[in-house]
Amino acid sequence: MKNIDEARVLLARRAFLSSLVSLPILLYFCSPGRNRNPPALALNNLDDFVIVNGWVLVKQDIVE
Amino acid sequence: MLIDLNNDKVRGAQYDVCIYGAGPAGITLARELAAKGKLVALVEGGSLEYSEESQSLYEGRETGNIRWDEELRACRLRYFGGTSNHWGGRCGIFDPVDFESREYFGLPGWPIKREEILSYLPKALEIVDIPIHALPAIVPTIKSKYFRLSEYALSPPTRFGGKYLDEIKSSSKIHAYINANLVTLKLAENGSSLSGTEVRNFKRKSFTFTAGQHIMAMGAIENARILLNSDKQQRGGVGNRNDMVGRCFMEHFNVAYGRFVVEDHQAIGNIFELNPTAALMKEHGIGNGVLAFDPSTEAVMYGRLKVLKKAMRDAICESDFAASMLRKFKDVDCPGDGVISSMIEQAPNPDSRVTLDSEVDPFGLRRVKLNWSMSDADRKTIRVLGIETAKEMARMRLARIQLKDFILNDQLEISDIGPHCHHMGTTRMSSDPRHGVVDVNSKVHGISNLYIAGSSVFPTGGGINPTLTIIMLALRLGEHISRLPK
Repeated sequence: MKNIDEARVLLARRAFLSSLVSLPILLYFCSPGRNRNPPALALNNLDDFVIVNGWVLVKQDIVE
Repeated sequence: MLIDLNNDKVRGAQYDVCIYGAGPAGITLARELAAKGKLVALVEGGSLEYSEESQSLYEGRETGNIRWDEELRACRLRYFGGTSNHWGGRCGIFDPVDFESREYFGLPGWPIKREEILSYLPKALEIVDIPIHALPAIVPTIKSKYFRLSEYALSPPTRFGGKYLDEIKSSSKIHAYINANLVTLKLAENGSSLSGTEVRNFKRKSFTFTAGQHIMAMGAIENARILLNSDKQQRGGVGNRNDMVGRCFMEHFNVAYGRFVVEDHQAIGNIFELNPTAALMKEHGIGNGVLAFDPSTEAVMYGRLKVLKKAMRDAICESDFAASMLRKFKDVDCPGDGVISSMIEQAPNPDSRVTLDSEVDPFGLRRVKLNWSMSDADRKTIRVLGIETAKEMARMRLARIQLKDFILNDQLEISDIGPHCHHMGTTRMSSDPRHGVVDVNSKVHGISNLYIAGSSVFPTGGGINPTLTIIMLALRLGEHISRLPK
């Protein structure tokens, strides 16, 4: 039988690693989806273009 | 013939030409002049291999508003073959607009025609092992008034020392000296020609070299340093009556512009490079450049936890929300993201310059002080190129670009910027000695037998790697010198 302290360390390590793996999975299922278009928050206007979170986009392409 | 100045007995010889610096320009010139029957001394400060003793002579101080802390030491190599011992091989041709007058630069540009340089292109391509029809390159056209796909070709890359050493050793017309450090240019009494030069080995023994013509081919920083240090007979240094030696030091800026997503893979593919057209440059009064679009491939993780790190990164990148949250703290590129790097022309700026420091090297020469400076003209070029590229790519539905904050906001300092190790301009070419150091034949103004080869004579830097132009200019200079009366 293993030493109790060693067992505790092993359990803690496993719990930590499990949480590291499960956290991204949780975030993935909670994310708003894989749409690569950034949120429609206009910051600047450049003629027929708009800049949204640094993305330079044609105005007519923005879906409100 | 190869002579080690540290060890071999040196017999005096009267040379037709002495060339200082055995890099691409120096070796090209030596071969060219020897082929035309000239007796040439090719004088190289380093040895056949890298040594700390030689490389440490490149140390100096950087004081400009752009600093890399390794610009002086890591960019250059001080041994036979020069910086060709670690160059990447990318070759291209200056654009026609680079030879047109661009008043917004404030200083005159090239005083010679582009076609004159390009007449040496076939021979230059052969020297760097590029097929003769590779340049000008044939690239797809895109329907844009303001941008075109870049044209370039790749040398293997050619290591000049490795490729040409045997030929030079067996040549009776080329005496190649290694461990031979140029320390002083000696003027004749009239001050309008060189009577000779002082060269020292690493045992500090001095030798005098005399020749009909002398050519400095040691790179933009070292050419300027030696001219400035030779100030015992002419105040300010040789060829510096108008205080232009060392000025207009130019690099190409490597600005990380941001990310991109390709929309039309068929039209462009995942990897492409863009140059602005003359129309865009003239409309906005900006310089040239290349924006390179590369997909971010799998990152290599290091350390004992590399498997875990990769798993975490891949998991985070699967979620846009998680990736955007992490990017508030750390810049993360996910597989499939494209990243945009660049090579941006710097405007000739007299305040971006090489001067001398008070600290001296083991030969007693003052070390270099490099004040590499970015000007408002450079900031404008960087920002306009980024914004106009993004607009054009969006308009054409080719790609969508996310620009970094400092590109969009001119109140922010331009950070995330590095060098390309393309040192140019410190002895710029100009018909008018008030605006340059060498004339249209690369001869130093006011000195009848001193010439300069390499990118230190470039009056503007263009938006292309300099090596091919360096070689074409060396071939042109070789032809000019071979026609001079003995």
